[in-house]
Amino acid sequence: MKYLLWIVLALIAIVGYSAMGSYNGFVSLDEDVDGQWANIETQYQRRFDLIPNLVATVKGVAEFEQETLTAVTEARASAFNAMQAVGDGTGSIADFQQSNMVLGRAMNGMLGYSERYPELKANQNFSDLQAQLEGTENRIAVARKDFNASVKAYNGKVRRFPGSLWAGMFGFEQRDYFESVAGSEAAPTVDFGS
Amino acid sequence: MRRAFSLLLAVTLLWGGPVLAQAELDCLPPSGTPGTFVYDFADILGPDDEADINATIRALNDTTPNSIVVVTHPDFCGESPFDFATGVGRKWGVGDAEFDNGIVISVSPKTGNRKGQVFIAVGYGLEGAIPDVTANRIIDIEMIPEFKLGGTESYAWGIGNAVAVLGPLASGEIQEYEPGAPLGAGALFVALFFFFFVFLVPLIAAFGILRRYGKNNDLGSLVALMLLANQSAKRNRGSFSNFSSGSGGFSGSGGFGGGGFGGGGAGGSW
Repeated sequence: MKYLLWIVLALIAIVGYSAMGSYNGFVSLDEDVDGQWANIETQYQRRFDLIPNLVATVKGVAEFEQETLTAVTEARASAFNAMQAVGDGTGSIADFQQSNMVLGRAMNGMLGYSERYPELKANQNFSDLQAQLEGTENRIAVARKDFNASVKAYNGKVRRFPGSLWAGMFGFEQRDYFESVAGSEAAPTVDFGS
Repeated sequence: MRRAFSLLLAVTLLWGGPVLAQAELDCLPPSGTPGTFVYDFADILGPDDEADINATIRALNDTTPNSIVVVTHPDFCGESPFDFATGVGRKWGVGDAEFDNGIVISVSPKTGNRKGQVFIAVGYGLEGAIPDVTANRIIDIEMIPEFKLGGTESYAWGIGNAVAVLGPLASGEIQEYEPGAPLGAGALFVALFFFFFVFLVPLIAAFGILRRYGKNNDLGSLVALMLLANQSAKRNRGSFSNFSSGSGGFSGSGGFGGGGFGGGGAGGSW
């Protein structure tokens, strides 16, 4: 009879230990995902900051159709709002990606158009901005990869036994990956081939 | 009972550690060799040039915590230039862990109808000293024009040029890259310094010795010079090797141990 008591106590200890370990694990992985998201936001913010400069430079050198530039400005504004919505928890990553895709197309329109202006290609400011934009795209790619890796670690823990038992109880849900919508990879592609 | 408990505990502890498989860039060795900074997998550098560039970077790594790694590869393992350069930086841990101050220069040679590609990846810690725009200009001005010239040593020239600019930029010796700048104040000072110590000081010293020698032996200076030159020719030969002992004192990370690369840098093709 005494043995039974010990067994019960040991089981309670094991369960309690497992719960505690799982909870702490969830918290730190969750924090990790948030940190990586902040990193993504920083890089997108950088892109959002560069775009008005690029538009201004283009405006100053070449006579573009107004609607090409307006499309970029508007797409930038809506992508910016979508990013903030994700940060607030009111928007989804999917919406953010969608708005980035629209922005990417508008940017490609503008940059494609600028190919016709040799004076723009020769403009040092324009080529510097393009290099910065390209650098931002690269940083976004890295930040997204890191974000997805952290989501993978977190989701893995949430879904695997025995964590899965506790995840539901403590209210930890799976988080979304930052997957690329078809076409969104082609966000402002700046051609440096020539 | 006790054993069963600790077994269960161990199982619980071992359970569920996230295993992140990072099997990227399998075509490269798993790590770099400390002290070796040039990896010519594409075989586009002559052995002498390779050793020269390596020595330049090693000198930089000896005096500053910065390190530059040059990797040439025929096809970047099928990756984009950016993914390759950043991947090497992360996989090998280029730079040191405290400052994340590594730079990876990756070059894929032009072959047949395939474009040559180059990317300079800059670690987190150096993104301020070497912004993307600067990396881009270095590629456009120092590297690609050399690569375009062709010839057996064009790759060594282009890479050597880039290293010569990136080193001082990374160490803060120069604040801004100015392409094609004629001898700046710094370089001029170094030149004068060398002239002074390598040439002028020995000359003055030699004159002093000559005059004393001439006085002591009641000879004219010219005769003294001839006699002395004859005498010291053998003596001097041994001490000359003292000047070239630059390889000692290598310590620290040897270029690896960091790996904080977040997408800084720029690329180009020709």
